[in-house]
Amino acid sequence: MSSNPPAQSPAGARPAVDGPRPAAPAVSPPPPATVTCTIDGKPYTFPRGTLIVNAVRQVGHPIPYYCYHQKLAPVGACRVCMVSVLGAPLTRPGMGPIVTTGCTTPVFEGLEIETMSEAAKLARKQVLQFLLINHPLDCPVCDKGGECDLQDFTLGYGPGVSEFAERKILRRKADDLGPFLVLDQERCILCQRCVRYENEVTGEQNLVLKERGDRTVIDTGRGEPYSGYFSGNNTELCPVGALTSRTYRFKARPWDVRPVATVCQGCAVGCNATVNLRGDRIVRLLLRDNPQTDGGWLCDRGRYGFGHTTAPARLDRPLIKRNGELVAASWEDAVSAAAAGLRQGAAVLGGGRLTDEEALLLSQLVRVGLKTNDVDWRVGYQTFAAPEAVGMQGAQIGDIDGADLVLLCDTSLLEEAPVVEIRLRRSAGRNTSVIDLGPVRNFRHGPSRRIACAPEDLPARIAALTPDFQAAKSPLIVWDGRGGEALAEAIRGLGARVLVPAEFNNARGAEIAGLVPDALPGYHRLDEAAVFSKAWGAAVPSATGRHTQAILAATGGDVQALYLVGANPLRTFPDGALAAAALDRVGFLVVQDLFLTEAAHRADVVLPALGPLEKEGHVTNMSGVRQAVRRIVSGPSGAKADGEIFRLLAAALGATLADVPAEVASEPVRLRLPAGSASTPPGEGLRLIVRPALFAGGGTAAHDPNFDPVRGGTVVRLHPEDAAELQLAEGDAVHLQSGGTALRAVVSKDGGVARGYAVLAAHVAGVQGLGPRVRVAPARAEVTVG
Amino acid sequence: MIRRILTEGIDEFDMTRLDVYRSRGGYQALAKALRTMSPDDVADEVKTSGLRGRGGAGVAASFKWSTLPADGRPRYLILNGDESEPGSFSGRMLIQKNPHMIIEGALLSAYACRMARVFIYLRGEFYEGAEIMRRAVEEARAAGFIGERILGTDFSQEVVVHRGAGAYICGEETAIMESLEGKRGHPRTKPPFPTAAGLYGMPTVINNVETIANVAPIVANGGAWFAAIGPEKSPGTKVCSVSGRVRRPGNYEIEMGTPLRELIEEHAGGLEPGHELKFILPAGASSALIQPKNLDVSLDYDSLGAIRSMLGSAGMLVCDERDCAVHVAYLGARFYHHESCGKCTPCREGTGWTERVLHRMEHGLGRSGDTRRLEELCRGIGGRKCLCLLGDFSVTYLQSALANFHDEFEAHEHGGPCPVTAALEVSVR
Repeated sequence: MSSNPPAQSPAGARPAVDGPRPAAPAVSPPPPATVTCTIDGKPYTFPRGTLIVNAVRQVGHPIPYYCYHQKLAPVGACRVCMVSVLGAPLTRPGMGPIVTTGCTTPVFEGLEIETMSEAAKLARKQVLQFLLINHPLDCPVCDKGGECDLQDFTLGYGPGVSEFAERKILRRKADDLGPFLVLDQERCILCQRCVRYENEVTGEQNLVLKERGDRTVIDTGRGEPYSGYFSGNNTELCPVGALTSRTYRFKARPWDVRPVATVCQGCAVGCNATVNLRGDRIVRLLLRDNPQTDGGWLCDRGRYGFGHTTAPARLDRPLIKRNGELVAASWEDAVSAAAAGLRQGAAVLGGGRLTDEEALLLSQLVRVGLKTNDVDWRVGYQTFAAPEAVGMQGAQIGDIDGADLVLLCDTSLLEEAPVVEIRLRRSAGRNTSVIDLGPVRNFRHGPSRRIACAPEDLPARIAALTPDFQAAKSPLIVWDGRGGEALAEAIRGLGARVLVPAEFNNARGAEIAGLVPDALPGYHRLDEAAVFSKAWGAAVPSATGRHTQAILAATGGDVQALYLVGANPLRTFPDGALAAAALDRVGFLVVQDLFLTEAAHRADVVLPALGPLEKEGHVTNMSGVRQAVRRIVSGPSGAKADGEIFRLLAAALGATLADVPAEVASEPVRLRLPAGSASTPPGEGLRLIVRPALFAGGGTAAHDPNFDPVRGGTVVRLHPEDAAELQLAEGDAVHLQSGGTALRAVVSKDGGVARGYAVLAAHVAGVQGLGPRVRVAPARAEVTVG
Repeated sequence: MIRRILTEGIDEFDMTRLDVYRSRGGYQALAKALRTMSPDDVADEVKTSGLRGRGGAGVAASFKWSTLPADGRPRYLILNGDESEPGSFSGRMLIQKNPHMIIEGALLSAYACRMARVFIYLRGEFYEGAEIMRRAVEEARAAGFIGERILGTDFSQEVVVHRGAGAYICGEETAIMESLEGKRGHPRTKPPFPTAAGLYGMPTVINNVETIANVAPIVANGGAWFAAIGPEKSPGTKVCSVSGRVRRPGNYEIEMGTPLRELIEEHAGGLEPGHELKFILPAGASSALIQPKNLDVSLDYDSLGAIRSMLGSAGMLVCDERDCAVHVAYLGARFYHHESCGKCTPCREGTGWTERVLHRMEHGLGRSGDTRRLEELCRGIGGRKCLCLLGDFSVTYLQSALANFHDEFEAHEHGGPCPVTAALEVSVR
């Protein structure tokens, strides 16, 4: 794949039509929307403002370039896209054509462009020769070989031989820039695509130019490691082998790999991507533009999160607990043991990581196989997935671009829907004002109005924003559904569209499939159970089921068995003590997962499942866009797709799962939400809050070897003044003590945390076990707890 | 002939002191303008004067001023004091010796163009000049010439002195704006031109410090007075920097149109006895060499253009028969390589390659074909292929040296000591 995308269909370019022109309007006509110019002798019409480089590409003529990129502003640095041009004001009357760069010159009426004039060809030759004089020409060991614009354009437009007979400048090679990037300064041709991306797109400026002239190099500002969630895009912007991925290093040549289109399932954005397979192994993911979802970028979690497919820790056979030990078993034994244990008083938790089709199968299995409505996908902080399900108007991801007011309600796009934050960064301060509300600053790469408040004060603070929302033309609220009915009511009161980043990648698919206790698939009311009974050919219970909290509380009582589907409440459920007690109490536990999680360790039966990229179906993203996913790799041979497991279980339970969803015409139900978080009573220590962190959470990230470099220890974020009062410095080891439990963590001072709070990353072992307040005490080196 | 307008009094008096500058008529032009003239009147006087930009290109100052759009956006004036070319040191002298004349000119220009703010951008190496200029600005502010309601009128003006980080490129008018904005000194693509979208995207005029220094005398004495000095199309004076093989190197303020021969032979004291002029590197080493046969050329924009050279900054590096053309070319190449900003390919890579070839030739390691290689490098870099004009500057002098002293370059292709200077008694290096 070349990093220059192929020319788009020439929709904007069509040959000029001969014939009479419409009469000009009488008074000061606006400049026409199109201009006509000639390219290599043929007339074409383009929208005004089209750059020569794009005009030439659109009509199918080849033109080389390095610095120009459609996703970045033109810079005119590489000087390779030279063409000959003739026409005022570029040339004076009587003057011949001149060569100029196509990336910095828009077409204009009457312009004559020659793409292959001798002057243009010579100019390109000269520039291409210059670009190679200090280049190491180490193509045989360069990862970019075969898809390198420097190779291709030198072959196509460069001189056959170099006249350079001096010493080359030596620079840093194979330089680890950060967790995922490797920099080769010698290969760099200083097109500045990476620097501009860091400036214009992420705004993080992780990569900068240093030094001057031909000593110029790309580097991080102070030589520190690259820190950011979007580093991998640089490897695709780089037209040469200067910025490459550590995970792809020496892994393949482009002609070795097979591209397969897919959708990233790392979070609920649903970024489009192309997987490259070498044999049956994934060697890399590349971005695949979808303006609706990713806007043309990937985050590092998505790009590099494929290591779990071959992680050694993957479960590859069913396990059954015998004499307190989990031992390998056959699928037949495991399924019949699970079915036997689940036959009486079972409840089901999880489902937010399934495909849409699997979620629907699970929904059926729960109703017709387990004969209950005790099912809930919400095993973490999130209380709903679709805003429409709780009486709000949903938004599309792309709506952020046109919103003039965006309220971040105690929600971090960066940690929960990273690629979406790029959109907000690009519009914030220009057309969009951002309000960043909550105990932690969530928007840190753009201007915002910061309102710090306690979680329980959010409804009142939101109500106070009513005038701002009334004044806004297209306001938008981003809320991840943490909290409850009181907060939801306040948000409804603002009357704006709501975007909901999801805690689990297909939370929305699970919810619409009816993996909730108070609705059937399609948000249909439970009193439609008869219709579903008919469609599914078995009785569907109509009594309202219990949500996660109630299910966990009822274990040991009438919830006699628990079936966890891709769920690990010990890491995700806010009341960690309840989750732990519930798993201890429950009579029978079945865990279906990719890894031997904390919950799986306590299970009676463990069913190994296939993960994303290993099964096909559809997933529904955070704004309701359904996208197809394919089986790209086979996964462990002993694991099965969740859907297949559901069918096996149903058969063992004597039920059959229908393939067709029921067609029901009733009004959708509104989901019940919990009342909301009560304020934490005053007490000793700091108030503990747990917030999502990109590389901490997720069922696969925790076990993905590609993320080893970014998986540090547990970090507790404190306001610098709180840290000072506790006499703690950056990087100090501490014990977080709460009741009888303690957790070891490392201090990170963060001015974005409100005073009086200690912030931990969600979905990390041990975090959910802590109470609402923690005492932070220095840890002595020899003590290890937690 | 010598005609002191900008340098008047600076040898005898400490004109950096506000009281001294005022005692010699300083800030009276400002008072006159603010009390008796409208901004347009001031602009008209400058238009009448025919003042042309002293930084190099010689564009009429009033032309830049007149192209500012009247759209209500704030406008900025930048004084270019990033004098960085080899052999140019007139701006430094004006900055260090006559800062108030620059400030007064800036205030008048800002009044004429209704500028929101004035930035005086000084070269990074001008530690002393920046201190003097800052002190002068503070003194002027304390005396009520800068700040709110200047001299009790409705005119308010802020002046910011900014010292760069030391880069030739920051004398380029778009790079200077990048630098002022706190970014890396890289030129921008044009259009948009600075008068349309310049500093912080606002309409901006960039004038050389010497250009602006002329505005106070123009307003004091009238545009017609100025227009009558020197040739019709290049009125006024020019401070010329003469260096190299002359007996009295230094800055000389001459009336435009003064013959180059007069500048070199009379004012700069001529060459040392027994030596003869070989060539002059004009315009701060950014234009074609001047041959001895052209010594009678008049020093003004058009006359130098007619012999395919440039007045530019009027930095004149005088070389005699002891100076090998390859040696001078090497020094120039070293400068352009060191100062290339690195943004665009031909200049970044080409200047480095050029220096490496000339370094070898200069150090006795020339190879057959080096001269042809240099000619091709000049064609590869020049011809408007680069993003800014500095790429072309880096080859103009070299192409001229190659054309005029081809045999000296070819003589260096065989290695060994410099064949040009070997015959001379005195070593020049």
